[in-house]
Amino acid sequence: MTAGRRDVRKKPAHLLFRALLALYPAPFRQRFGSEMLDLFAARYDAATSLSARLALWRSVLADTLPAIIRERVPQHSVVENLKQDITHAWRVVRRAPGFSLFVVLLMALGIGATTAAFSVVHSVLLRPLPYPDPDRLVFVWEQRLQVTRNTVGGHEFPVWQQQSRSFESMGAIAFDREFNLTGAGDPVALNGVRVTSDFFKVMRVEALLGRVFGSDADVPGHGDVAVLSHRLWIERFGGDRALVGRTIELNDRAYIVSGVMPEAFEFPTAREGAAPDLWTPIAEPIHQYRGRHYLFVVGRLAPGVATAQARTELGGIAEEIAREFPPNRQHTVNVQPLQQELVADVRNAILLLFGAVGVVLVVGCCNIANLLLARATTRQQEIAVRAALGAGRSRIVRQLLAEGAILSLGGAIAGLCIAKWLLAVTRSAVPGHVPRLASATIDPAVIAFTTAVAIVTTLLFGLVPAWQSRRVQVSDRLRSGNKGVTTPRRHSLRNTLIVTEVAFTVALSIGAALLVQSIVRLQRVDPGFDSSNVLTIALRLPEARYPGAEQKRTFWTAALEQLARAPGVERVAATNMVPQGDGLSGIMIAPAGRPAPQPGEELTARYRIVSTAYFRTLGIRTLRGRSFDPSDARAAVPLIRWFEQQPFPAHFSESQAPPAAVINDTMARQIWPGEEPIGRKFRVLFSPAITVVGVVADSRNAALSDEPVAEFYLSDLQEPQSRMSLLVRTSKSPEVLPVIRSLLARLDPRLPIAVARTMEEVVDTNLALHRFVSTLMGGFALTALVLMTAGLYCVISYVAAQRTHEIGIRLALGATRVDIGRLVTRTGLTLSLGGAALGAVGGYSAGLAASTMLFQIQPADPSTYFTLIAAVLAIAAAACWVPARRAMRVDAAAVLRND
Amino acid sequence: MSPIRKPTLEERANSQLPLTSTVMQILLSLSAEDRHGLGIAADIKAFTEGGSVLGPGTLYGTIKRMLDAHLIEDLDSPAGDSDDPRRRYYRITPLGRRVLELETERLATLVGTAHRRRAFKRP
Repeated sequence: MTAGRRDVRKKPAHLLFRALLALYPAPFRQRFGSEMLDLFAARYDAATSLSARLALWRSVLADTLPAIIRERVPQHSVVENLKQDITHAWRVVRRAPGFSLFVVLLMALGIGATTAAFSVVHSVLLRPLPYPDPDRLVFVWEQRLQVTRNTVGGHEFPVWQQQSRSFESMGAIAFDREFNLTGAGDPVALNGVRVTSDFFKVMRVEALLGRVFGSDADVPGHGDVAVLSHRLWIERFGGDRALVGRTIELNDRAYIVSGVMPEAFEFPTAREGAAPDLWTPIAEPIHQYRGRHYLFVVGRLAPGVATAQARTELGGIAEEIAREFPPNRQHTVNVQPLQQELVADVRNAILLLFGAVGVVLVVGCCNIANLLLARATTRQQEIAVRAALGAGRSRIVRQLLAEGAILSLGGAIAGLCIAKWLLAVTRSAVPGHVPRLASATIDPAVIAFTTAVAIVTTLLFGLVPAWQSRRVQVSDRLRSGNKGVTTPRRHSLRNTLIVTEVAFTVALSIGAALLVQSIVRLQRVDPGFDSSNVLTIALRLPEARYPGAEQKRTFWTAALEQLARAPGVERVAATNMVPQGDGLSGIMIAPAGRPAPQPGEELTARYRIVSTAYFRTLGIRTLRGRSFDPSDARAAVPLIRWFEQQPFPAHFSESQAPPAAVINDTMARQIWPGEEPIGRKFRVLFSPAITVVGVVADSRNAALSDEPVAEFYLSDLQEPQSRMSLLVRTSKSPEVLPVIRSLLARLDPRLPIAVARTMEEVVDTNLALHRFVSTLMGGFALTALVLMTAGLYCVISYVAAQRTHEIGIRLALGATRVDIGRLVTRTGLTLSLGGAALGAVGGYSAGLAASTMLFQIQPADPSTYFTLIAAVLAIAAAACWVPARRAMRVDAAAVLRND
Repeated sequence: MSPIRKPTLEERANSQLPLTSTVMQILLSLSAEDRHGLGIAADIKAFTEGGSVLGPGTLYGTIKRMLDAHLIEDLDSPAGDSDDPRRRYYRITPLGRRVLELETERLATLVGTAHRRRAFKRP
């Protein structure tokens, strides 16, 4: 029987249970282990099926693990001891209220700032998108040479969608149309997006009310359906549930409301982060728009398919497309996770600031640790007395930890309050659009983070004095009384803290200095146009009332003429894209008289459509030739044909003004280097040959930081647009706005007028995030610098005070006061120098991390490093000088008398 | 200041109340005869009609605490048992018996009150 049981005990399950038993304290295991194994073995043998065995294991684990904890942690004594520890710690904390309050405050600031920063990182960068299976959502771009994110062409998306197997669904988005809502209050311009019906399948979001549109709405001519956003439904239609199935008037056409989306669904946002008001079907023969890149493509990967696989598959399809459509040669596909794409612009900035906040926390913690270290020295006597009275080492460490815990808890609670306030400030102060920032709150994940920070700091605070007390020789300590006997080990800890503090401060300062210099340089850049005193007003002519190019041109010509005569208006012009405001359009061009380029080597240039007075209004100089004039008006409009089959406009063959373009200096130099560009001709896609009539100075139309690229301008008299922005130069902008509004209302009372912005605001918006980050980084660096200076000062003062006795003896033995000054300063300066050297390395990594935000300055800019290290060392010297002077005034006789 | 004296059996028994159901079940099992751990578990399973299956952690953890509280004591295997010489038998102590009585009275009072107040249907 005995032998039988032994055999049974060799089963793997029994071994496993034995392993579990090993977790018990040894005395318990020795006393009960074999009996427990018997009981387990009996039950295990009785359980014959797999499911019964699994159930047994589940119940055994649920039973044994808590029992082990109960045996391991003797309940009664723990609670008792904890109570004692906390009571004692509270007494210690209260005994030095000033010190405790200071530490708690310092911690609260550190924890508060870190928590706020983390909550931003969490809600913007880490939290999954609010759609089902968000990991499978991707953005799909066309990629060509240096351009990694190009909008997708009409000839590409339908092929990808049909042939790709990596995707469960794929949808396209077009931002190319605006929607004027009439018949529901004042006319208003809405943020409408056009999407293919699969867009909703990709996002897997259902309508709150009614339904999203199905594939029937994708058929050209069946697109008069709209899905409304929750906000639009509430604000404009009072949340009327009967609206679904009824019609609303958009761009003077009737659209049937098919559904209302849930409140939280705000995708895709427009360039400036505005959530869409409505979704309508694209409903056009997308595949016919060959070469027209206007689609943003989102996809849902099939289960188990990785981004890289999808990229490879689409790459193969792209090659096939290129075989049929040679301009596509060398165009590949770029697949990026949706979440990353949404935060791509702000990711760096957020991480940078989070890092900076972390640095401030580290510097603050170093300071606190140094303070505690200094205080621990004075408390060594108390600790020695306790040890002499029989307190065990672990008991003393526990008490010190309890003190640390009280301080950290206070810091964490106050920190959470500060974080809440900081978050509110951040939400309102952050310029531009940061996705999901508005929803950043102190949620459980953030509280968990704060708790983790608090635990780490508790350990730090508690362990610093504990570490120190670990080698206290009770007898020595009791004998030497309060006269500090410092050990080399303690020096090394303190020195490490100082070096760390200086290193982090220098690194942060270098990063901040690089950014601040960048923004200063950016602000000095000449954009090439004069943005002062210019108002921009965006207008969009509804297709229903202005169907043809001719009608559009008539409206713009009349508007510009009347506005030019309005009081207070100095000059007025119009453009389809406000410089630095409305995005960019690049297009393929082919200079006349040159052999067809190798596929993939086609020339592209950016372009915009401008009215005659554009260059004069924005103060852009004409370098050669002429700018546009009224005689450029053509009867046959528009000029650009997007696809080969597109019919020619009416009057095309009549005699009229030749197609004309004004090009910028860069384009002249790039396309016709060393030649006279005036009179040269080029084609744009399938346009007739366009003649260069003038060359204007470069202007930075994309952003101040972007070098000018080849760009040409077409006249709105030849390529009329439905969407234009008026540029009004005026010295009295507030007064002139009502005049402009009434003039426009007289021309078309149903035309909504979007908010007017000044050009300076437009330019400034682009710099805002950059400036915000630079300012904050500067602020953090300054804080770190102040903390570092205070820390250094305290430590050197403390060390000098501790060495008073030694200094007295040195003086008595003939050392000069200068020697003493040097002695005291040397420690601080040596440590600072070490810290600065490490900090320079850290600064370089900070510079690299910020490199996308640097402008005309290298991450390793020598003068920045030199200046900052010199400045930090000077500050360190000053912080050491005060205690050094005090040490130099030590009265040797008095010291020796006291001995 | 009151003189220090040893608490009486009655006082010690009262300080143990109320019992957890595991302790109560083990006392009940041992009140009939001395048993080893496996036997206790089997007996409890039997008299609760399978309603209470004690896991090894709970059973031996409780046994240890009951030994510490002197509610039960352990014996070496009786000579007649050939099962396994290492197996320990447990026996209820006089204190354990008194605790069991007191707890049973306490529960009986509770059950009686419940009956009077018709808190449940009589069978």
